[in-house]
Amino acid sequence: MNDFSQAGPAIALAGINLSLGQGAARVHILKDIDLNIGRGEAIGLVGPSGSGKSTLLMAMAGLERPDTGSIAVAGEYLNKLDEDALARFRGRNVGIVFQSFHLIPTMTAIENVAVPLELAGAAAPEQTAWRELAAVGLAERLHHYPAQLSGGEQQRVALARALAPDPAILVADEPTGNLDEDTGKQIIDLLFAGHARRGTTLILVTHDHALAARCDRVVRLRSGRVDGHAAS
Amino acid sequence: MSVAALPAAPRNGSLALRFALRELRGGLRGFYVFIGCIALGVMAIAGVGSVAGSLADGLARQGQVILGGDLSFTLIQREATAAEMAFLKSHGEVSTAATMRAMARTTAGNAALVEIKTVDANYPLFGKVDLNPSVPLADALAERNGVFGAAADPTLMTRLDLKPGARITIGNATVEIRATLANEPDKLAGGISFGPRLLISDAGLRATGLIQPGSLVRWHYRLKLPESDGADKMANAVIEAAHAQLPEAGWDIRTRRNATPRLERDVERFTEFLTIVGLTALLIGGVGVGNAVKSHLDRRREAIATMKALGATGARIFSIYLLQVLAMALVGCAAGIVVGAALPYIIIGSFGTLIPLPINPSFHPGELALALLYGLLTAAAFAIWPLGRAHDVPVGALFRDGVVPQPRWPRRIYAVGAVATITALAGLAIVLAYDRRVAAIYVAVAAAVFVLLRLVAAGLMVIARHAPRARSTVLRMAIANIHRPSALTPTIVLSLGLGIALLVTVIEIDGTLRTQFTAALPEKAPSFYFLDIPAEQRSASTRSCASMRRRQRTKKYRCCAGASSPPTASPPKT
Repeated sequence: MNDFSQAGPAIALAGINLSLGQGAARVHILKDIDLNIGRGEAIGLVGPSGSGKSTLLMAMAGLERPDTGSIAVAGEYLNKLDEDALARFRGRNVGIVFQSFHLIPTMTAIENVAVPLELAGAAAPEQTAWRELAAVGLAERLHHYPAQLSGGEQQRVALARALAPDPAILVADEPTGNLDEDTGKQIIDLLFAGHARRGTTLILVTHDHALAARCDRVVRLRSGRVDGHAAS
Repeated sequence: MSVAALPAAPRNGSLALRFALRELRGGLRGFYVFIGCIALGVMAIAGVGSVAGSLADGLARQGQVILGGDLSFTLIQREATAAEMAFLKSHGEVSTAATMRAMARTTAGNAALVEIKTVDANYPLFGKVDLNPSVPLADALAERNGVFGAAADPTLMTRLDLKPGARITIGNATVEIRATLANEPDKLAGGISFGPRLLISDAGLRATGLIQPGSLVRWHYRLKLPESDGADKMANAVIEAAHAQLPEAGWDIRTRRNATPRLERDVERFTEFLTIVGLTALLIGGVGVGNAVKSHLDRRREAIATMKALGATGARIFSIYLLQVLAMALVGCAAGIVVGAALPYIIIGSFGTLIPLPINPSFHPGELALALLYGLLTAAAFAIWPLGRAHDVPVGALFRDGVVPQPRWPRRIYAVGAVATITALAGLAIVLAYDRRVAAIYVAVAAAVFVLLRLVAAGLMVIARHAPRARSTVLRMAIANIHRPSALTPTIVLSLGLGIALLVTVIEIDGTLRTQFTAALPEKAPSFYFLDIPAEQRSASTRSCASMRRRQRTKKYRCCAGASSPPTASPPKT
């Protein structure tokens, strides 16, 4: 599915402003964000808590709509898509790795990985899911439920699920935040290996500067604004 | 593990169904109340329908015996013409009976009013006549040495102090009573009788000379249709043919299905009232369904948000959880239908001998299908609204602390769907009702009760919000819980209010039925009435009544029956 051929960046954000909450509780989180991310590039998104990293990630993944500005991902302007089209776009083009894994507890590992494939109408979803799980070293844990897996295993399943549709962009929100150091390192290695092998654009939100340094470029956010870029 | 060892992905069935079934692996936790609510309401409706159907079946089955045939054609004061008889005989086996009242006199001079019935060789088409002594009916009624035979009700024997073999005079004829009548299968079809039955032959009646122009004789032609299967359809066809081919006959036609019209009317009314009780139970269950669905979706919000993040559209999410709800509703419906279908068997098995009605326990697919439809519609009506909210579960919360439920109105399509389903439910209740006016009033009142209870809940929340600040922390928290966002106040008020409404409904229906039954009785009805007291016993009976200790009043009336004839075409000669 990672075959978008339009020229230009994988992700282009222009004049993004985004507020969350209602009434007096409404908070202006993203302020005038302009950002281009090249195809196959790995971006480390860093910044203090509350700086808007996760919100920016969500906007790029089509999970939050900006109040103003435009977002183009894989050549598609997300602003122009309705909710259902956006959901279908997400399923085909965006892989997401959450900090808290968010596996569906009533489905086995292989079923969890097959979910985006089934939703996208892909052929042989379970075979693809099996290959992805084998690639993250879980070929023997196919039919285990999330509750029967360790945290590291759950995150590997989540990574396999994110990579299974061969997405144009892969977003990861502090993927090691709930794991110990060794397990976290294994996950990051798998994440970067997947990115390198497929040429997927990677956006990684992290507090870990060493981890961010493994990316091609680091984007710093402060109070909802891009505070600086740095090539690794 | 190799790919070959993998279970094949299910290819049949929709994706939504597959996901719905996977989601149900988490068990039925939270669905027990849901299933219980639906099962109870469906059981009530299926049970009432099955019992009523079994009773109708019993009446219909007995109806042949009670009526004396599959069909009965009655003519007053005239016999069937040759064309009419030909028509009847062309449709099955015919038994002819004539009934009239006459005075029976003994050689000792005693007299009594008797209900004469003549029967032919085909009598009875259904059931069995029992005589004492047990002799063939034809022998008992046959003419021997110029004297016709008769079978008399034992009451007549007592009243006239007769012994078997005694002779009585009816009009110009003398009949010999050769047996007493232990069982007359079609006795109920005759309605109220003013005297004991006397069975004689047709020739015997004609010999009495009582059949004259204007005599009050009813001629009954009972028809036994050739096939018992599909007899109802055939009976209707015969009726239609009778009206079409013999429109001037003027006969009163009854079928085995309306052999006892009044009882059937009462049964229908009773069924309707009990169905209303069942519907009320189902409506209350619907509130439980709504709450259960909301709780279930609240628990599944994270999974819903995850699926949406992975590409599921809101409509897909709605489909997945609607299928789950329908699957649970089917489980509840199945449980209710099984118990409801078994109810006639349970009732007859447990209390059969105590019930004076001909309940014939049987399986009634139509009634069960209706209960299933009510159950599914109720589940859908109360589930669509909360399910519609699942369409818009925000995905963004997966990146934050958690997915917090946010009460909001569902999209218009779901609101319209919920209203349409509720309308269909109400329409079904009205269209299928015995008395649509009553059903329409019930639906209107149910809707008003819902609105009223929501207003009461809103009022309580407003009062709690503006209540003065309590000093006690516990009291303050309790009051705050009444009016906080997502408070359970509307749910609790609705559930309690509807529960009480159900109890009131049952009490009111009970009162209405009692009124219905007692209204048919005059305000001052006699405790006993005695008919046809022989002249020589009048004084003794009056003394006997007067001697009773309790306060009582006795009234005597003289009655007579006569025939009315239309005026002749030409004025009488003077």
